[in-house]
Amino acid sequence: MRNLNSSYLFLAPALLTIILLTIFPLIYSLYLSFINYELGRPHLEIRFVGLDNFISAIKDVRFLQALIRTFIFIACVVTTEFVLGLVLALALNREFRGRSIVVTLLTIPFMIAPVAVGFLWWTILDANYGPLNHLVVDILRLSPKNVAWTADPNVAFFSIILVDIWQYTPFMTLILLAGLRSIPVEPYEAAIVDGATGFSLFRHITLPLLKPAILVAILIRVIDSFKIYDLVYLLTYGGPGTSTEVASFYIYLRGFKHFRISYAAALSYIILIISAILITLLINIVRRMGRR
Amino acid sequence: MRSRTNIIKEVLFYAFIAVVCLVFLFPFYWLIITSFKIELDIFHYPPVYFPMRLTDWNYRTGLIDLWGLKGITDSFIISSLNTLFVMALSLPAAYALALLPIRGRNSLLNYILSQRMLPPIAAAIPFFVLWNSIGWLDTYQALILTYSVFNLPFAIWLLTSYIQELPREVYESALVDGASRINILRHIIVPLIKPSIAIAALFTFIFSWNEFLFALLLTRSHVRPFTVIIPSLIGGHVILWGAIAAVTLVGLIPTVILVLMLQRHLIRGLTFGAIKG
Amino acid sequence: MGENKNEKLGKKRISRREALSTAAKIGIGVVVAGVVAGVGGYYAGSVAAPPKTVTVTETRERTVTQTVTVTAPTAAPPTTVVAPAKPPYEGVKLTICGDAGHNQMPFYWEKDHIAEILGVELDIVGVPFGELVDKIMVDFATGAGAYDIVVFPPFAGGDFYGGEFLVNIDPFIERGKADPENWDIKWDDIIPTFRELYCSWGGKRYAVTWDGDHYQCYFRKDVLLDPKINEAFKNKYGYKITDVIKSGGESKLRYDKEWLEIAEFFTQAYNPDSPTKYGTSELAGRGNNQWHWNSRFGSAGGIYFDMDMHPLINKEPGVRALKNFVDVIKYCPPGVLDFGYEEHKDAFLLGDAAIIVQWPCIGKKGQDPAQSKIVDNLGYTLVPGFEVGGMLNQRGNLAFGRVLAISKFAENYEAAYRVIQYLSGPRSWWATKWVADPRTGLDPFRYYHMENPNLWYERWKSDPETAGISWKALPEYLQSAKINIEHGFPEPTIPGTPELYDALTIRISAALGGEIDPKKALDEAAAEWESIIDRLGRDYLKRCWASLIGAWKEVGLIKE
Repeated sequence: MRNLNSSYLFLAPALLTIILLTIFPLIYSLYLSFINYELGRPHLEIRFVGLDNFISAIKDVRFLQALIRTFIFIACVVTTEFVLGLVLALALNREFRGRSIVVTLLTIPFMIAPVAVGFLWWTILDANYGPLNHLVVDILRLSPKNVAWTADPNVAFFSIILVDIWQYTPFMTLILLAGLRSIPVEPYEAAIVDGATGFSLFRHITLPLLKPAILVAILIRVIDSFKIYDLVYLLTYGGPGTSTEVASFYIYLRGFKHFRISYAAALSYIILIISAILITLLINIVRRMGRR
Repeated sequence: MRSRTNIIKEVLFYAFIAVVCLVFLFPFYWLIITSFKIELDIFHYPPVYFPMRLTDWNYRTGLIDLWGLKGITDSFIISSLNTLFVMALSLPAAYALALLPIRGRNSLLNYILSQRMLPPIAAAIPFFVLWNSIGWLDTYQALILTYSVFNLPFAIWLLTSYIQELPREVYESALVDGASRINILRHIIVPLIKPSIAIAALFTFIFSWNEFLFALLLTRSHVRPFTVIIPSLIGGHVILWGAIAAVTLVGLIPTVILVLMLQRHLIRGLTFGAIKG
Repeated sequence: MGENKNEKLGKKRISRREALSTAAKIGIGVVVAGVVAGVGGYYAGSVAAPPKTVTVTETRERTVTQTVTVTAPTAAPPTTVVAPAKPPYEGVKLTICGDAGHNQMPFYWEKDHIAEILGVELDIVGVPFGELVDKIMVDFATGAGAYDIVVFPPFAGGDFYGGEFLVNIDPFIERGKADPENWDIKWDDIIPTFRELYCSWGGKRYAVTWDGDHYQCYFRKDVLLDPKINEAFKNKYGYKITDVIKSGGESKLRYDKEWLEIAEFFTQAYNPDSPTKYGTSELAGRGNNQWHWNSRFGSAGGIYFDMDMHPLINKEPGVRALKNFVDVIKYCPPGVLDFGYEEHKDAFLLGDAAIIVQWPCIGKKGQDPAQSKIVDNLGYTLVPGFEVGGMLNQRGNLAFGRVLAISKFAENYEAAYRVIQYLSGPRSWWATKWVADPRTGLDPFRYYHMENPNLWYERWKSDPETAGISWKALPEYLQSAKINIEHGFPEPTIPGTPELYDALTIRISAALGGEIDPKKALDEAAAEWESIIDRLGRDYLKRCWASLIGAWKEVGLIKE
């Protein structure tokens, strides 16, 4: 009994903080999603509308499109960042001159405030004056005329993905690198004695032992990518048309710009449920991956 | 023969690192020079990679006239206090969840992680109402506490994962030696997971430092985080690109210092040689 | 055991090294911070430079015979206005909330004078421009009531007036008759399109214009009025550009004829001899394009709703407007479909486009060599229009702008009004101090501003470096501003406008990108407008609209 009690004592402060702080927002949001409240409409009678908001959300084509776009975004971004991040982490795992500097410098992209990243890339992606077009059109001559990175409906979504990859690959790299640094030496020594080399070492020793780091990295990136909003807001404002409208942006638009916070609350709950399912699936997949 | 292939490998390797650095750091270079450029050079064709006309107007305007410095100070207060708070709570929690007997460990972990999934939009108005009712709008503590909702899950998960990967013998032999749980945590576990503590602290700090939505809604004039100051450099009639670059750069300094301080743990991390028999 | 000891010693040694290196890093950090603070302090010191004083005495005789003594706009207190013995609102603290940045400068400049003369302690809150309306609405709707005076763009007026969050200022304006210096804001001097369309609601007055945003047509004088170019133009199109354009005056440009032809002529892709790369530019980005559509819509004779609140945006005027908008895109720079304020301004000021429709700030910035490559080459004129019923109807959207209003949660309505009156009344030269100062980004909105170029001149003379618009260009600019404001076409100012705009802008954006046919785009937008109206309460909105239409008629936008 005493043992159990003191375990919970270690856990209690963090757990209590989380519970206390989130209980009100969660319940209030839930309440909001069942009524028809809109900011600043005193003439609208507030009444209980049951599941109406949720039903409207499911029938809302624009919301569904935003969800699909978000899923595509997450898939593209997390896989690319993971692969690139892993390659980089492996490269940085070996000693070389200037490694500390390189690692420090690589932390910079995700240390810059997302708000500022938006502005920064706005200038870089500018169709007429930006250095990226200067590189692509004038120096490398990959395209005959200026690419409208944020104005062309076919390119804009890709531009958002590009910027996110730029910003968060180093994030992945760091988590994976810390994981690599924590792997003990003995398994390698044992395997080499057994005659294993190169890629086989990687597959059978490194990857499984890196599993927890991989799990954390991918989970956090998936969760955060679900909520992506700053970049879209600054670079394209959901446009051209609605081609870069992602879920979080759409919720923000409905809730804050159009004052429909009940509807936004319902949308948020749907997103919350979907991400919970998605995350649970992911956890199970990755956990199963390393089981040998 | 072998040394030549080795040299080629070395060269390729360094070339690869160089390209990687170029790609990830060019925008940063662009940020730096933009902060010193005059307005006509910021949108200029062809792009100005090596500005000849330099000015400090952006720094003066962004940092002083438009309160960039106050923004950085306020953000620093919020982020560092939040990081300390989060690390103080998450270390014991992760320790408990990883090693100590706890019922429903996995469900608790999942619950904790799920809190990070909360879309900030959904939580924005409720938090506004909550803090308003206590009279804590426009205060540091409101933001510090609000951010813990998102930072605690991440820190706990990260630390729990790393602790769980430690060989069980470390913990058990210490128990056998009669050490108390607290002492095990302090003297054995913490030193072994320093890289992950460093990362958790760093990311927590960065998340709080860079957060925008709550910073915007929960503050007015007394507390002005710098992520809210940057968009206020867009006026209806003017975007002060140079000033944005200047304030962003100065805002990077605290985080860079933090990285430098933690870098030792990030890179050199301790291996488990100590446990070898 | 021995190993443990070594280990511990090893750890101790390491920790000493660790400590030293951490100390070194902290040391570096402190030094860096110290340098930053030192440099910052140096600059902070140099910012507080002594202000320049120029005194100009001017007697003003128009509708009110009154001698107003003014001093040049500096930070120094007005020398001829005497502070009352006891400020009437001693101890009152008011919070003013507006978009952060330069537009708030007047509040900071006048904070101390307001404290001296009114006794009011002014707390200034700046919100990023894109979030201003949201933040104010959250404050109002949750009853937090932290803001006493609010600055906001009129398109959100519907939500704020309709939500009954603002205070009716009629009684205060009335007091101006008896005591002009302390209560008068010269309501009738505000150009009618602003005061009737944006500051009133249901026949009552709630707000005072603070920034007179409108659209003007700017063009490259050196290029469009050049005789040789005009000859070449005449050969191609049969008339000279100078026949239809007059700087500072009423040009006669039609969107679907002259505008397109001029744009084509000056786009190198269509005319390799063109001196400019592109004919024109547009604010075609999502969230911005509704304003340029509004201008065309108004020119084509459109009205947003009928008296039953059914949207009329997809009828003939709307389609004509959108089709023309689509036609113009090919004469614009690449990336135009994501153009916001910045890109649109740069297209003209950096010399790429020959003629554009834009906000008044272009006039000021165009003369600033730090921002413009076409200094002294700007022409200012009336915006284009469409031919409706045989007559040329030229309308520019009164897009955005700002007004000052009093929140119903304010602690002291009188004091709040007095602060507004201070900023827009005689002590501020009826706001000329602010609109003539390019550091504020505020634009003229009164006849007084247009008819007193000498005040602008004094401002320019006292500090040419920051004065923006030069004396040479000023008369044309002011004349053009006056005409354009009088030809202004309002934004819809009913509750729900942000949502209506969103439904409209995404479809305009899609149509401009060629993804959807203009008529279909507007039909979809109209359908969504209908559902928004239904949700918000059709009867309620009908009443709002009916009272707005009253103002439209008063300004002559609709004939009886």
